[in-house]
Amino acid sequence: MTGPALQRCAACGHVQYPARECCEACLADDLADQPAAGARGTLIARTLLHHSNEPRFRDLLPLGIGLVRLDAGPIVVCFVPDALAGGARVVLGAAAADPALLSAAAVE
Amino acid sequence: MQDYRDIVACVPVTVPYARRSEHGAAWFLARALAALLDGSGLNKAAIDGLCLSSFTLAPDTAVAFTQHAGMSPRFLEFLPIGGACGVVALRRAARAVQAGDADVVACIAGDTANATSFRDLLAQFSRFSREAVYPYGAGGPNASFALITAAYMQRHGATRADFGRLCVAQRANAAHNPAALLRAPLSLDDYLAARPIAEPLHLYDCVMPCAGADGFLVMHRARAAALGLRGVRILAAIERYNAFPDDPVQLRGGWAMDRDALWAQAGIGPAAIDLVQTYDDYPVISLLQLEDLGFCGKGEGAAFVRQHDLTFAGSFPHNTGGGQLSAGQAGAAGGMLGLVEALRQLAGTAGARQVARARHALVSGFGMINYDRGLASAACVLAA
Repeated sequence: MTGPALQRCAACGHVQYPARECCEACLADDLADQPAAGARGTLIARTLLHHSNEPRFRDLLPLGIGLVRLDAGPIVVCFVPDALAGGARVVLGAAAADPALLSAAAVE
Repeated sequence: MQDYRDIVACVPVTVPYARRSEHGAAWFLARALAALLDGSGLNKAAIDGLCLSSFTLAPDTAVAFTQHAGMSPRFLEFLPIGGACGVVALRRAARAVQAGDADVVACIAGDTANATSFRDLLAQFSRFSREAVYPYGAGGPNASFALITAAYMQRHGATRADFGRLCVAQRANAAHNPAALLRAPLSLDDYLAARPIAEPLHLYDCVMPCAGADGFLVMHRARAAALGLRGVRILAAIERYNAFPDDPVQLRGGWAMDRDALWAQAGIGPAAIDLVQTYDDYPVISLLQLEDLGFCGKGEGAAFVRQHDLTFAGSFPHNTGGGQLSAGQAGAAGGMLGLVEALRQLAGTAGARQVARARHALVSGFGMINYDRGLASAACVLAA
């Protein structure tokens, strides 16, 4: 699979992120990946980064980063380019800068 | 929970903080240990227990440090739990002495800092952070606390000036602490005019990484008395990990789970506390501690700091040495800073910043932003 994945537990159906080696709910180890892109959720909060300790990000500043609670349960840290307020409905997609990363956009 | 009767903490020491250092973490930890010997009159062989916290000691742990420093303790704890390490070390050490597993436990925390150490620490801080936070340019606590602060402001209507009052009061305290790295006066206007780091956080909301170490000793009360040491009693202590995992954002910590047990064990309530030391890498987390530990209601932290003078001579003495926001964050020592300050205050040795009638203190710790929130919380109630 390309791009970040959510994990679904085959034993109990729990969905989790970031990747773990066990189900955080039932501790089973039969975990299947499903694409994070397309998952919907609610923006909890957003920050605009003006400083990064990682040199390769310095040209991209300021950078919008947010915390998204997916309807499926997990909490995802991702890019949030638009100035959305907490409570906004969003959908995850591949980030323009790097398809291995996630970005959230407002649901139309 | 069993009480901590007859156990005391004593000999608070600080190895002077420095913005950067060419020394390794073991140098700072060794200087802290040497200061504990100087302060107690004990020789190294009498220290038969060790609780140690450090990030930059890696790849070594507390075990390696025993050989580095030529110690042969019979009780050892390595506590890589960041900002909760002071209270947790106190708990471990007190139980070890109660059980007879050690007679005198040295609790030390320290780290070095150089041009690459902080970035290296952030890049490898945890697996979740490395895989799902750092690639977004958000490595390190700035972004995590910016998100928590933004959510807190939206939920509770707090303003930047509310956080600023806390930071300004701590800077005023730091003016009376020669060991604090940031002692220049800070006004609320200075605070508000600072450059943004990770909105809504600006420069003076963010702790400054540095090098340094702190430490203290734990032993039986009778042993301290025989050595002529001023011991501080432990009335109660709590710790908790990964509290409230279903909360979408960290607007409360583990203190809210355990505070009733804390006050019940202490036998006193928040109103009897003469000084409070919260873990303050960012001001929002201090407000959460004040709320979750019962000094005010949930969401009332901003109103609380508006209503109180938080300086050492004020109505609610808080982070009386300036806290990390003004003293600097010497890695793991940031988790011990508040505890050693409380030990000094309760022993009456806090000098120009001494709180009048300091009889009871609360110290709380918080640490380890593993992914989106801090996983470790701890607190203790101490008595002169």
